[in-house]
Amino acid sequence: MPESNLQNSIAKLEKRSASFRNKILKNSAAKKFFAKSTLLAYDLRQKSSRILAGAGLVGSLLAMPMPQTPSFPTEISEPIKSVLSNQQKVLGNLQEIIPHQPAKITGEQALKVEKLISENTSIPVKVELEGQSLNHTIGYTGFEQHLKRYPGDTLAEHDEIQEAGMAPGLGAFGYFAKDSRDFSTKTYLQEKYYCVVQTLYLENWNTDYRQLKDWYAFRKMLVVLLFVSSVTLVRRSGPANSLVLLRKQCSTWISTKVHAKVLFLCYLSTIRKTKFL
Amino acid sequence: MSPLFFDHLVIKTEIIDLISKKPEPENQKGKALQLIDDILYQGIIAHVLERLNPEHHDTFLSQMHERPYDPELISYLKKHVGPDIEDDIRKAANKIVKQILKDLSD
Repeated sequence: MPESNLQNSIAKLEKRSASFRNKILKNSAAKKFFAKSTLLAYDLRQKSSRILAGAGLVGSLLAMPMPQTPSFPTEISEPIKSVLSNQQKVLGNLQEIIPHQPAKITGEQALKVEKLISENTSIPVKVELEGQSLNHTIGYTGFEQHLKRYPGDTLAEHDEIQEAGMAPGLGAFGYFAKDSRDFSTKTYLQEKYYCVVQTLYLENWNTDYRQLKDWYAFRKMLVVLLFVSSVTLVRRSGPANSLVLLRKQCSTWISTKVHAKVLFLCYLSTIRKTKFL
Repeated sequence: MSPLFFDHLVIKTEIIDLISKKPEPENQKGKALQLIDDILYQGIIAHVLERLNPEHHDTFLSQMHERPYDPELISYLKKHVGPDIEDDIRKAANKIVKQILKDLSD
């Protein structure tokens, strides 16, 4: 029985894979390294999943510009234990400070939150920044769709949680990159961790929307789920009036490398799995 | 499955479309897709090692093994290879994708 076309193709692909493997193993560091590790993407992805799940870190992948002079590997070698202890400290104390219902925190309560976050993360977080704050600081999350990052982008090219689907329209600020060649790690992370805020419910939105839109565009927000948190960028103006909508239900613990002032928002829990069109 | 640090620089749409239209059983298609994932991974690592100064190979490989998903790896390559490394990886990936499409079409 003759082999199918795909079987023939698989044979060719296996040869190609062997050729790349041989090429890599000619490199002395790689030869030494891959003697104790496989060269299979599947194994690496599995390992990656285990690390992320085990550490409770669904990526220290932040929607922020890549550092110009990264201090890799020192920073990424930071012991997970110390990061987690800060995380536990912040999340534990936050539960005692904040109300457990949608609210806007102000005054002494806001100062306590800012101090708690700043002391444990070095992020200069503000509940109100340059006179701006959202109607709610604490609220519920939704389940956001992916956004088209450049013309021709498809859902298949987006990693993780593809079941969220792709929004039919663009984000409030258009595409993330002008084309696929312009698409970078920075823009990849911007879409991956974008958030939606309800600027259109601000009291002065109708009169000051131009200025407000500019102010909120790409504004870094510190988003805290009561069990994890994330620094994210504003990419859309949302239709719901509770708080902020994220595609990622479970995001990331905060980076220690955020130096810009960020707005603080807190999620009580994820209660809805709704697609907002 | 978790992403690898370079996934966003690789466009596999044509490959996925081509394989999904093939009449063979799903398990064969899955095998082909797995193999293609390996090839892209191997090809990109081979390319990066070619571009990266050998004194940084150990660090890069170790960090990739410890945090395969971490975009900081791109930052590391930007610092030690050059600011155009993303475009460089994208071009290398495109070349490999074309080779794979040829293997699938022949």
